[in-house]
Amino acid sequence: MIKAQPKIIIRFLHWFCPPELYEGIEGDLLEQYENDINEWGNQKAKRKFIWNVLKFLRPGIIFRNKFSKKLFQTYMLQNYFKIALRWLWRAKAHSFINILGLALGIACCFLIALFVRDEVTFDTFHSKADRIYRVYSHENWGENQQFFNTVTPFPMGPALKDNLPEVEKQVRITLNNVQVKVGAKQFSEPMVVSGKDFFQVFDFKTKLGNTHDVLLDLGNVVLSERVAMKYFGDTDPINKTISIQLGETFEEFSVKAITENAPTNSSIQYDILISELNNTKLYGERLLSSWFNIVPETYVLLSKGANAAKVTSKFPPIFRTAIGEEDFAKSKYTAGLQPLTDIHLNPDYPVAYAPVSNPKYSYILVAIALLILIVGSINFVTLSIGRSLKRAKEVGIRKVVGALRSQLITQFIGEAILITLLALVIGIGLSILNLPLFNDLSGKQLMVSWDKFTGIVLLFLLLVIGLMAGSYPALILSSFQPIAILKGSVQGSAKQRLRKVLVGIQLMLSIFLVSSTMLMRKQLSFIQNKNMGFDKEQLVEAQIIVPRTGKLTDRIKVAFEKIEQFKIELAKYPNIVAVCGSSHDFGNGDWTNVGFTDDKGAYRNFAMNVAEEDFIPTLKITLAAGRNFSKANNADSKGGVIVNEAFVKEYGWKDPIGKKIPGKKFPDHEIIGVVKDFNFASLYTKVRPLAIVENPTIILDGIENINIDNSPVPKLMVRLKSGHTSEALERLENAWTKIAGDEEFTFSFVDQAMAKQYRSDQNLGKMVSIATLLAVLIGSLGLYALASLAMQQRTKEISIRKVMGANERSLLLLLLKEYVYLIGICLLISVPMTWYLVKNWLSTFEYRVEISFDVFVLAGGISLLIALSTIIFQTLKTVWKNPVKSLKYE
Amino acid sequence: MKEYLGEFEELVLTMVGILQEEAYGNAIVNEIKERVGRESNLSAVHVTLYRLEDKGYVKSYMGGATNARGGRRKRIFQVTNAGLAMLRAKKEQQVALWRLVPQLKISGI
Repeated sequence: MIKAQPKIIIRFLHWFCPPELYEGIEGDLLEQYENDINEWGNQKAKRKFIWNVLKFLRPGIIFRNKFSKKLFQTYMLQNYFKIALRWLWRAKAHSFINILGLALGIACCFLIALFVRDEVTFDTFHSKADRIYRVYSHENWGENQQFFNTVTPFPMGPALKDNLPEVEKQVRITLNNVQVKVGAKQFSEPMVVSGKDFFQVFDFKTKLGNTHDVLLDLGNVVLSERVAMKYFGDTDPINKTISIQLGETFEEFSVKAITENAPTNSSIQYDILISELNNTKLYGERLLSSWFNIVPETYVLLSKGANAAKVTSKFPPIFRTAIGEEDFAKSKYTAGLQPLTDIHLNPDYPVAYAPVSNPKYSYILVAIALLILIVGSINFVTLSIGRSLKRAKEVGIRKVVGALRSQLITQFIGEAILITLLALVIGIGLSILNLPLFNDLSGKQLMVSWDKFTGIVLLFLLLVIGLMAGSYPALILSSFQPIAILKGSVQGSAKQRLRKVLVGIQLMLSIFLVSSTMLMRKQLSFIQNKNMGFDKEQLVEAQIIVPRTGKLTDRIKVAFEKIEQFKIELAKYPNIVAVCGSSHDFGNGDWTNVGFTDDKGAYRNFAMNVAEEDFIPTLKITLAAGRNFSKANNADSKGGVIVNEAFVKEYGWKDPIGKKIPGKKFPDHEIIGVVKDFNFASLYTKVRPLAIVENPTIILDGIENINIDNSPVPKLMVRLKSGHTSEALERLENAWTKIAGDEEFTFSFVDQAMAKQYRSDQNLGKMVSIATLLAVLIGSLGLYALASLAMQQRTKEISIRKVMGANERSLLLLLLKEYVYLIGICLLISVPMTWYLVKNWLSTFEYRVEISFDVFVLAGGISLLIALSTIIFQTLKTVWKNPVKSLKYE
Repeated sequence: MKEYLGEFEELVLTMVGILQEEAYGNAIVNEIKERVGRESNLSAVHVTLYRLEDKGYVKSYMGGATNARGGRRKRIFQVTNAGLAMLRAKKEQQVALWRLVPQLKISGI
């Protein structure tokens, strides 16, 4: 007797169980249920019944006779696999070309994926990243006087936090170069100064000690793992003391915490971090409270759910009160919030401390990787179609014994995926091998990690390439009519056109890449060799270290006095040609930029440099008019000004000597000389107007705005005798130890420092060169294989032509003609493409080469040569064959 | 292609052979418990039976309805000739192998 078995569970069984099995199973279950009731009682039996039913929920039951047998036709799969391997093995050369091409494409894509991932994940590792914003400010004082900055005044952060409930926390960050003493050793290091909430807003992992309240005490310092290792080696650094130079004296700091090195994809990088309570020792009282001196980057953490735009709209009243009605109206002061995660890839905002990279490079790299992948995939497609005649028989037989078209498509796509899989394995191996090289070129420290991201990228590559390369050949092959195949009347001619188009695309890409590479190289060597207006060879620059005390002008003076000592010391050595001092050097950031309103009311900008009489001869700058500073003339060191030609042009002077800078407030001065324009920045920008003075107060007293990008504390510049570089450097170092004592001697060669500015473009040039080489290699291998196939198919035709009396030359012409047309068309298409893209890249340089058409002729010629030499080789092999051999089987 | 018979498959196949006309899911579960003292799962037995059927070692038909089991018919399984041959082959194989195992000998007292 059956007692109320749970209906719902029976219904469930009915739902999932195949109908033909249902009755038998249900019966067995019910029988068991009855037994269970007798044995265990109602309740337990019911539970057991439910459990027993659920146990039937297994694939062996659910999928029985549904599709299990149809879906997993392992017999056929095994056959497909075996056939695929046989084909791979039989045409070793073709398989090699296919797999190599795809593998190189995959390796490039994989590396670029790592690169792009690093770029787009910048700063996303902070758990509150979506709520952190950087404050930017905007002032508009009228024509030519707009100031847009992502560094902000010191009072900005506190003002926002105190007045807006949505601003949960604010953190100010400044970056200073400081001298650090650890025991007897002295280092020059970048140091970050920040507020107490630094570790509450940003997530940097603590390694040792506690970062929680560390910035509440002005005597604490946090070190990165990297410098902790450098200073203390393996000993425990916690509570050790280091001295950092703040202002004129060294202050002692106690190491309270060590954090892991900031991730490479972090905008905020620090090695030494101290509390902003120390700011009073670094900056004057006035600067710390001024709204018109911008020093720190200000980051704010908004409360959950706060809307940045709404918060920004509440800014103006705060500024009006803080700045004062009059200045607020005059400056049209506004500010806004830039999301933290937006900083790295948005070149529209001015650069502050956080490095910004141009997303254009990512786009270019992605494009290059895809190009190589496309070239590799095209090889696959053309070779598969080329070989389709050989596989036609297999298709015919399969169809005759009953293969469906869908099965054949599955087979061929599966084969493509199998080959892609092989390529994938090789490609990943290649990319891991080449990762150090790629890191070098991209300036990153990428690593391969086997996480979800890598898995997705690889799976994506596998499927996309497999389908892209496999689907067309699969469609073609599976469409053959068995009767036609087996009768032997299938012709490959219909597919010739598509094959030509594909080969054409390859050629086009090759020509494009070859000509872009040549143009880029031309520009890059132009940069290297461009006459900068001064002699940058054999020139060494080193920062003079002076106490950070007193006024800037005093510090400049102290440094020049030190430089005088160097001159005397170094004058003894013949290997040292010339020595001078200069406020600014080359390749290390912009020269100080100043602005003033001239006597006609127009706002003017120019760059300034503080130097002395040896500056012009040491750098071998040419004087265009007037004279250099002279020691004999006392007036020079007080009021002498030397300007460049751009300066003269700016004011439209005919005879600049004896003129004055046309501002009202400049103290007594006179322009004594004009130098020819020399390029003190980079070739990305035009030479700006420049004034060189011995006495900085002439300029500083007359200007309204100053923008200091790089410290104007003078640098020592020394020209070494060529051929004696190492001896001269040794002399220089000895002199340094004698004069500067235990300060670290760090120097750089001017030509190298200047070349560094173009590094990202140099590296891009190298990457494009490598890509070009790869693409041309893969493409020509493909073409070679394709030509050999085409020739095999035409062997009979050629033999008959030969028998009929054609000579080698006419045969060669006949066979090559179509390829020459193809290359011609490709050239026509690729020229405008290259022209447009390269012009775009060149426009970032103010000084650049012209795009000349000989490059395209050369690139076309090279492609033609490579293409033809592979084809000619194949063609001659066919032409030279004895016609009897290929015709006797008829 | 060579066919293999798993351990549990062999057991179930043997039970079907033993139970003859009464070989259906529940009976097999009980028989296994009785003869070998092994707890087996109804659903596992069913799946195994269907797999044996796929391999052609058993065939099945629906038995007559009874009053018990809510009037549901039983699916009765029968060993086929192939199944019998397989069982026999298995047995012979085991016996042959067993003969190769050195037996304990009492010697030299």
